Amino acid sequence: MLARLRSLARMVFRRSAYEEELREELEFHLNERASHLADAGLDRREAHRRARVEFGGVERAKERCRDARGARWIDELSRNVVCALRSVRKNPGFTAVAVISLALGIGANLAVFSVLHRLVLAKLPVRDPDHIYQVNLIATPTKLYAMSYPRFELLRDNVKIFSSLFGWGGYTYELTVGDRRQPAQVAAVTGNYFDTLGVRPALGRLLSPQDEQARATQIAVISYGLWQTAFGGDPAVVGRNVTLADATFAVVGVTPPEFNGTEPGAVPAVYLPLHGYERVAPARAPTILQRPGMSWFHVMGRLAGDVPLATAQAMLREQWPRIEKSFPAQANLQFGRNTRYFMVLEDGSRGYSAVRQEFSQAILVLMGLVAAVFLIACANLATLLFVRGAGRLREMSIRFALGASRAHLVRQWMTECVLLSMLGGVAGLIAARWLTDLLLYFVAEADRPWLRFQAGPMVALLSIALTVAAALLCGLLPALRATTARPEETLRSQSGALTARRGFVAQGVLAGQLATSLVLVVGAALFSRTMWNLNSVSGGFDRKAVVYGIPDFDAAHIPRDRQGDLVKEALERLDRSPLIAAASMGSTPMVFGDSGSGWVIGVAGYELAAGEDNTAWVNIASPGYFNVLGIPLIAGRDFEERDRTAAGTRTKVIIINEKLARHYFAGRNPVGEKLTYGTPMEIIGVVTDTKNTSLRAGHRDLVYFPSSLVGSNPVVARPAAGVAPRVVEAEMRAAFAAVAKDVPVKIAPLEEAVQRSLSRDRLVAQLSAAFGLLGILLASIGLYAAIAHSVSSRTREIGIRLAIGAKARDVIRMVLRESLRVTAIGVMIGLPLAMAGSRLISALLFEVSPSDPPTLVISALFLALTGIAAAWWPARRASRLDPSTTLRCE
Amino acid sequence: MRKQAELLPGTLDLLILKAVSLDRQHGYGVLLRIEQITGGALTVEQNALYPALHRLEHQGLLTSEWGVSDNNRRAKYYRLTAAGRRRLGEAVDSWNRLVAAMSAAIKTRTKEA
Repeated sequence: MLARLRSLARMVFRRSAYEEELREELEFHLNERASHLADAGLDRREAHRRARVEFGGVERAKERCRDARGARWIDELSRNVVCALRSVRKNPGFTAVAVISLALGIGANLAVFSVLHRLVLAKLPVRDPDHIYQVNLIATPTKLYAMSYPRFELLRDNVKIFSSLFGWGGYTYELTVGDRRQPAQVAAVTGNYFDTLGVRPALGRLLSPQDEQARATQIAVISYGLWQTAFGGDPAVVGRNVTLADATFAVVGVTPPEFNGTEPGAVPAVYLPLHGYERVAPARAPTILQRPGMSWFHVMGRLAGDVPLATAQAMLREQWPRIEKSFPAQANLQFGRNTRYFMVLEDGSRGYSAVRQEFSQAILVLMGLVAAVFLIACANLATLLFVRGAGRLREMSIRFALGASRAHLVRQWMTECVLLSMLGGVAGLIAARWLTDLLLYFVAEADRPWLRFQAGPMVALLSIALTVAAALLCGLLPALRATTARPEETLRSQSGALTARRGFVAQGVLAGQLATSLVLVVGAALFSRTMWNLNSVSGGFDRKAVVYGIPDFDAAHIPRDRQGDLVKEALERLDRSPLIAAASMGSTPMVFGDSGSGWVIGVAGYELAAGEDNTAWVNIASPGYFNVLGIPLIAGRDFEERDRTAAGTRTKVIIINEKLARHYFAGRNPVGEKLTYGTPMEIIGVVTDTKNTSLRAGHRDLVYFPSSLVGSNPVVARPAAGVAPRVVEAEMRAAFAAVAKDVPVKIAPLEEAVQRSLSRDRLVAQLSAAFGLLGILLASIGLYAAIAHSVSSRTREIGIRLAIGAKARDVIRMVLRESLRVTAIGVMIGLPLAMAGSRLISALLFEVSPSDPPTLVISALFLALTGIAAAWWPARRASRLDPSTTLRCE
Repeated sequence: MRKQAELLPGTLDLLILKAVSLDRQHGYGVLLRIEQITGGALTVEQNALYPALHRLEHQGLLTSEWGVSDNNRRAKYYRLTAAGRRRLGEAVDSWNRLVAAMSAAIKTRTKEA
């Protein structure tokens, strides 16, 4: 095999040397034979003549030698390639359209696939990833992908099914290296993290179990990426410092370039030992490692050698509740009394990813959309090639009649398709990066680095596969069609027009292309409707005007007992400002993510049904909070200053929402009633329902506690009439700067938080719209080319029609009708496809049915408009033909 | 002149491999060697020789190099590769089996007749 390849390569690259050797070898033979014959007594000239006669045809022998080395094949290929190159160069317009449409089709696929692969498909680049399992906590009905650190310790020390149990948790912090500042993902990892994963350092050392035993707090490992960007790949980086928030760490090592942590979508720049993380984490006393109810730690493990998965699951399920009983009671408060909780093992080979949880479905949908775009691009190219092939039909027929084999003609045609596809594939690879940058620009999700394009072996493989698929899809059909034409028929027909049968195939491709773009348009329309609906749904609060600000006093080392006073002072300043109508403080809707659990409440005299959810979502509110957010109070009174409690003491009064009131006090006025949360508390008011974490979710039971003016809860402010939110932001910044100079405050309009909660929907809506437009653009190019070709091949017919009195309008109508007929077929195929496809995306839709009739009708009309638009120019041109010239030509 | 046998299809490769198995040979030398080792009973058509040599080289059974012939001319010499030697062994075995089977078959028929 290798020998043959080497021999072939020699034929390709050293052809002239081979020819020379061949000539010399045969000449030697003839001379040798001649001298042999001369020795036998013939005279020299006669000997040479005889030698030649004996040998037979020298050229024939040479040809057979070349064939023996596969030269015929190589020669034909190189002739075809030269031919194809010439044709590609000679038709720059055609080549540009073909390559660009393929590049867009392939590029979009690569871009989305790059994300899909990295986030959803790829296994972690660690030792034996298939034997790593996630340990997740299920508190029915929700599943938690994180647990508190004390829970992890309990699991590690009491359940003996793991050979190694490790974990990590983290967040984004401000990172300072020298005078360079940037937000950076930080991961706090257990000492055995790197050992268990089998990760080797690129430089220095990684964190070890000894670090954890020694309670190391001052050291950090940095990622390869950070080493390259922030330290310029400095080989002496070990010993240099990184600063996170206000804590400084000495770098001890660098992770290898292929290792991106265990959480796809959140690539850590810095790895800290657990006790080092205590210096950075928001909770300082008790620390994040000590809090039993704070679920932030992702846990994974390798099973002990001989424990089968099923056994491990069973043991965990059986043992955990018993172990959990020994756990501090307060940790369980976050789960309902009726909830059962247990641990489960799940596949950990691809790591845990919050981003994956949220986006995998959306990415799969996008993958489907770009696959459709690719098919359209191929169909488009097929149409273009077909139209051009029809132009070359006479040439083909002549060559066929002259004895070229059909296989030869197909090979020649395919060579050109392969060449175009390869150009498209390479351009697609370039376009992929460029497309993602462009999309990211429009999508404006700069904080989503995982969307960025990353080439890799799988992406390269896909680009090759798509290139081959493109060559086959767009080449084979026209190639077979053009070459199965019977030459005698084509040559007899003077105009070289498409015969009915060939036209049928071309129309099929066109209709399929239009049908696919209809699917894309319907998808885009459904997602846009979803976005529109989400944007117009009421969250139960005023999201347009309100501005919020979150001060981080901990970062500025301000003691907790002082923080309340500072907030109070800032609020007073805001209240005094003429630009601000009202300001208050409380847990603001949409600002905090969904932690997925509520707190258990009880109402005396209310009988819980089995399995009934008796949890409520807990919020904090200061006097005036409801007023600022525009949440109407429908019974009782708002909080007042006297309701506030000092830090640490239990509150006595609460406000509830309508939903909770209906749940427990059906038909009664709940004001004045008691509700138990640990201790009984008096309900003093009822407010309307609000959506707290997501506009999609339904309302929950809500409880509001009066704020004790401690900690870093958001401050909210509403502008005075006629004042823009931007002005309020500046006012708020000034107010905080006045009370505490160096406190970092995150200030933004509430609308921004709402929009952030919709980022997945926006991403899908915008990308599907972009792909829909791309699809329809490509389809209309194909349609245009086909109609233009049809018009030009019917020039004579149209000329006659015009000559015998047809009006320009009639000709236009005739051409448009042809376009609309194909479009109608496309719609008829596309509508059922779209309805079937949209059922797959129903989980991503909001308040719009997958088979929403107006959406379908409008999309179909849009396609019809496209059909008219694509045919308009050819139609106009046809109507302006001069009958006398058209009849004279040929 | 002795009676010449016709070359069976597929035996040319075997003869060539055998001819170069002892020592390297140029194309003309292969021709002579075959005549010599078959005692002149088999002759190879000159025109067919070179395509066969090139095919065997293409398949990696032969390798070639340029050298100087006995009468001081530049000539292309072929020699067996390891793969070629293996192939020769296999071909000889299978030829022997064929011959044995054919001879047995022919003898049987002669007796019956």
